[in-house]
Amino acid sequence: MTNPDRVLVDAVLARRAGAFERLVADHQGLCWHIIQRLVRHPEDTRELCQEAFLRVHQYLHQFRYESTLKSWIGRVAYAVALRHLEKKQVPLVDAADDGEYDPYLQEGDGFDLESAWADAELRDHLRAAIDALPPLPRMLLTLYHLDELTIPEIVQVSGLPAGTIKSHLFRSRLRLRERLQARLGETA
Amino acid sequence: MKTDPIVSPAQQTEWLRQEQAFDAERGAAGTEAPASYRLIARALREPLPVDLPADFATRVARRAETAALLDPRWERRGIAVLLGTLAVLAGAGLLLEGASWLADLQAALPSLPRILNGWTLLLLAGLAAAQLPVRRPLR
Repeated sequence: MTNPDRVLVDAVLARRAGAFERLVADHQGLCWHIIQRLVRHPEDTRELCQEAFLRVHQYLHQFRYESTLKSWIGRVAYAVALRHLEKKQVPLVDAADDGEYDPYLQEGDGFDLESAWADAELRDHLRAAIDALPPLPRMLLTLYHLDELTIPEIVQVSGLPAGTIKSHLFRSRLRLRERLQARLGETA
Repeated sequence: MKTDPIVSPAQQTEWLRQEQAFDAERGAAGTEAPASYRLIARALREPLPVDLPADFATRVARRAETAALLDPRWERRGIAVLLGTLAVLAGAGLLLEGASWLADLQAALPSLPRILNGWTLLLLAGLAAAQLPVRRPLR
């Protein structure tokens, strides 16, 4: 069976009409998710997405099929966004994340999922809590939950060890759960 | 940060709950998970609007193709071809006209003013060399 990545990459390298446009259209969603979750500013995100795809075009001849094309493009987008954040001196994680963390683990929740989801204010609170996470965990959660990338695929995109990715997912979901419970406690 | 934070049985249980919520929101049947984690997983799965222009792919492809035409590798190759052509033309000119140029030069030399004696030429050459850009080593 033909590898669809190879077909597309060969078409782009052969400068076939519309091939690069298709590559961009296929991967612009992932590129947006990575950059937007790290950078947040929409105008910067648009510019950085463009820069990422120009880099993809320039360096596509170096793609060696060691990962999927999707992961490779994701890695380029991640590198572009990371450089932007470094220039702006925006930290990727909270300093507190580096310390020991002993979460309070609770058993049950005692609320109904569907009626909670129907509460628009609660949903907004949850979205705000996600937005308030530091850039790196916010991006990792989006890649894992929304783009459904596996942890090994996220390793390829970010270059981070699998354990570090798992750690960020675990801690940020715990943090979100604490915020949610605090909110539910307020409204009860 | 520790590379694998999920070491204690309590943490493993919590991780399992988080993953069960993720699976349940992806439609896995018969998955038990706390409502709070399911709510979080659901919020995290909400589509993130991609705020790019409708013709983004077309525009980027056009820019990439233009940038490829201006690729510095092609620029360097063009300069090399131009310099090569100039060298060939200069060589051909020297072969065809060299003898007469030399004769003209020899005829002109004795009539040059006395100021252009050997020492003055040496001084001028020294000044010219001092003006040449110095290439500093890269750090």
